[in-house]
Amino acid sequence: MFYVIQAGGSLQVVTTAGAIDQTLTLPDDITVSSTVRGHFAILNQQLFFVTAGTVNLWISPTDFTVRPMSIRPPTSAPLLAAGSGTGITGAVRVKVSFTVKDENGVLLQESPLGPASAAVTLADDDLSMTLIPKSTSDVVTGRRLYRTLAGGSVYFQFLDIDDNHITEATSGVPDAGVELLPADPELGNPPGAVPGTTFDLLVAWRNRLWGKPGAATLVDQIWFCDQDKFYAWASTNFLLASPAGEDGIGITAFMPRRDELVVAKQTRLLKVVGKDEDDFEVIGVVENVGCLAPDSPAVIRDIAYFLGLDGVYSYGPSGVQKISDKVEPWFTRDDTFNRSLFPQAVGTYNPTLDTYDLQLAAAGSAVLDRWVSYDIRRKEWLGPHKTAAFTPSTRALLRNADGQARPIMGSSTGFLYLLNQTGASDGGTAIPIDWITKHFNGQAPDREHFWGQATVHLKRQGAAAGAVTLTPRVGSPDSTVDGTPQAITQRVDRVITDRFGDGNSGETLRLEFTHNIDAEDVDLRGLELPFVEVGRRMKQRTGG
Amino acid sequence: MAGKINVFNLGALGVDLVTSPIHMPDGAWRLLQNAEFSTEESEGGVKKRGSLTKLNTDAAAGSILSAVNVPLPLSTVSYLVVALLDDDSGTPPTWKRSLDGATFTDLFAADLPFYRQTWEATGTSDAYQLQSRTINFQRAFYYPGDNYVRYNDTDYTNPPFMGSTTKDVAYELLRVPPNPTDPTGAAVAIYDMLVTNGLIFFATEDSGGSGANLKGRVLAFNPANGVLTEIGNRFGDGTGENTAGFPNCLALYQGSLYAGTYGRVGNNQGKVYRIQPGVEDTWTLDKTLTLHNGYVQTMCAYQGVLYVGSDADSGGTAVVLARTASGSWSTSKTAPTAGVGQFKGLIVFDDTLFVAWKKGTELLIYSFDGSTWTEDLDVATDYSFSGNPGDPIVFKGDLYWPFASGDSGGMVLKRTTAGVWSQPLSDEVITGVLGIVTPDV
Repeated sequence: MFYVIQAGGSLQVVTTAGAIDQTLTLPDDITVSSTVRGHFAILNQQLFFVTAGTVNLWISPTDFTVRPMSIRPPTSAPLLAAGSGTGITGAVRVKVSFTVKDENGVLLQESPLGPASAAVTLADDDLSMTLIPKSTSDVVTGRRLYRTLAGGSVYFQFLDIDDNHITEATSGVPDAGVELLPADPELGNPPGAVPGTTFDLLVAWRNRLWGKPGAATLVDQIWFCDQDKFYAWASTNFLLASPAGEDGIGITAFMPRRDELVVAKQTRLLKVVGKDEDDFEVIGVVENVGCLAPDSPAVIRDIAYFLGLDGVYSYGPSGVQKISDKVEPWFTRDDTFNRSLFPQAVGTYNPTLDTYDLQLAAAGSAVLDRWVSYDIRRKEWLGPHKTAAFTPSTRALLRNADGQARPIMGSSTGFLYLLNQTGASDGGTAIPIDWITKHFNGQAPDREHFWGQATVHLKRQGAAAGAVTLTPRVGSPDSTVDGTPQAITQRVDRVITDRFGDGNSGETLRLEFTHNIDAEDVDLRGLELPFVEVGRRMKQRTGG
Repeated sequence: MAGKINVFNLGALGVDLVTSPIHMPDGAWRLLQNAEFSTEESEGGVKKRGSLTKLNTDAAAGSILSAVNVPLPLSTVSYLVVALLDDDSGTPPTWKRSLDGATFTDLFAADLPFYRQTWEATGTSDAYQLQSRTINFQRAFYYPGDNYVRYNDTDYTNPPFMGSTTKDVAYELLRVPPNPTDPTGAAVAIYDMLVTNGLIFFATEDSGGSGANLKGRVLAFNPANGVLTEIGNRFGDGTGENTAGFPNCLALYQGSLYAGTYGRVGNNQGKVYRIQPGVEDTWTLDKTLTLHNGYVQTMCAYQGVLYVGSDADSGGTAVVLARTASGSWSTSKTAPTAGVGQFKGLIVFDDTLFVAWKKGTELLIYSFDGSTWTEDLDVATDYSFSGNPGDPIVFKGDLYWPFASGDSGGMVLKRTTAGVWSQPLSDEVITGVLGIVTPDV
């Protein structure tokens, strides 16, 4: 178990213990952005990285070689002639592909086939080939040659040249000696084989990679590779997220569920169903609900959670549901979050708390310095949360060496931070809480109340613990005047407060709990709020 | 009228920003900054969220923009292992291993079983006793056990076997069966091995044969299902067998498997054969080396050319031959001086071809960039050592070269891509066999 991170303009390997194992060497002329967030996907024990590289990248998790995910095919064909040996009779043609093999000779990657050669007619000759094309890519380790059977038109593999140097070869392999199966018809390159056209999105589903091209004219296309062959993208292996061209953004997110791949656009959801290229199809799910942030989805127990235009939605067996109604102002007004950065939002699952966490930017901020949590079991929201210890830059769900879930947050200074840790301290920096209750009114909001000495139930934090600051607000529900703050010691588990209201009565009582002491927890268990109704006070007659 | 509001559902309702102040239920909140509904004896209440703790002590290369969990073993946690030779000192370790290529620790039979070969000098050139490559394939380490050097017992009671280790547990995978042409005899030794297309090809010396036409075979072992297949016709002195010795070294080139022979006795004159496994049933003779110039010690493809290193007897000169794709042969490198000597350990490292040459007390390492041979290291001068070079290996980006000298000690040299040589292991009684073990972690 290990991690790969995009940090600055580098891809780095991190051990589960947190050691930077190595910085991966990128192929010549390929760079990784230090500002654009890339996307990883894993298929068939191979790792892929798109969006932030110059081209789509393939990372071998065994030797950590980084290669382009696609090799460009030969642009020329070999020149054929009759050789001095024997073996073949009839007219044959040859095509060449470029290959990558590991040190053990295992084929890792193959380009599409190049153009066909001119035919040569042999009369029990061997086949002499010159001008065999070479790749300009430094990752290519060899060439694979295909030829037709005598007089045929289907190409069969007959020779591997395990280098990218020689341009001449001979073969006397007869028709009976070529490979039994013809050239893989799925060989092909997806968008991203040439610089500047990488995938914007990439996920694994149904043992295939699924990608959204970044090219402006292809943003509504859903490309998929051959099963377990990340390098085989037939030119017909794409679907359309209709309607095409409805905007310039196209597909905004993929959400792989058990039996369907949810495809989001900004204003609609679709899904891919089917088992293979013969029956894959795109079906509409809902209109006027879409996904705004490509990295916001998290699929939890087969339910996809994602940030839409006006809030957070879920899509699962019960259909599409908006789950952020109670906190709608967070997503529809500008006073809590910087909504212009919503497309940068990152969502992950926190298994420890069973929450869907969404990283956002505070109003006026240009970085993802806040996050909110959706408690899935209770269907309730918490937050917005923040830390003063560092500036968050992303989040992810990793696993420790034992395979246990390990949600993390990335920082702008290059550190991974583990969530859900003990100690009540963000690495030596206090975790500031700010909890504000409802306006209590004793079920009689039209009555004046004297708010008596309340009881605050807390978990005792020890003999040397500090205090929680309790700031009451007594008055009308719209009052903005706070009362005198009180210190609620955490050295006992039950604290009787002073009376609230500074001697005055009010219809409602709101309490605000704050605490900013490093390495000290707060565990609030309950409140008992005694009051005395003192009657109705006319504030405004009708018609007045 | 007096009353009391009991609020014991603080952890049941979350933030509510839409309900009017007079409609909100008790337990709802307007703000829950850095709060969580903990399940650790805190159900029903609300708690300060958990801490954020740094995982990495050293900063990454910049702002972390994305991260992925890779649920695969971290292959960089691999070890360079050096096979040791029994020096009759009691119960010594069987291997040494190193995570960084610099610091070595002992492994004992319980850690990595390896039937150590007692040094038994034959009175002839012992060069062959150091030859055997190992394989690191699909996170398993494959090595010739017991008789990774030539077995000298005349009764061949312990035929060679191939072992494998994963997760620091070793298994005997295969005990090499007798050569069918001499079923009462036994396989003598495994001299080379390589892997391609999921099959482990290895070359054996078998009992029997006459003169230089010693018996041997090339076999393919499928580690997935245990099937053993003989490749092509056999080597030896029988009818239809390939002559000039047993297959001593293997190489892949142009889609074919090449085998170079070693006859041990007589005037040195080895041969190079080739075969397309699965397509062809017999080996094709590709080259007969010049008499006295030698038996074939090492082969390696480099920049589209197959290079073949030979040994020489007193009447010849060791050479490195080059075979082009079109089948033409030429001499690429001739040993500095004539006489009994050998080229050994051809390997491509840092896009450069390397080979060792030993003759008497002379021991050099040459590099070749495709056009010019250059002396890269004078081992005898720089390290006062003139033992036998083994087969080198590339480990974590550096080249490691073993040198052995019977029971009088050996060493491992390291070369970086910057051309710097060092001696990470010295004064060890080693066999000359190196390997890479990648335990599942």
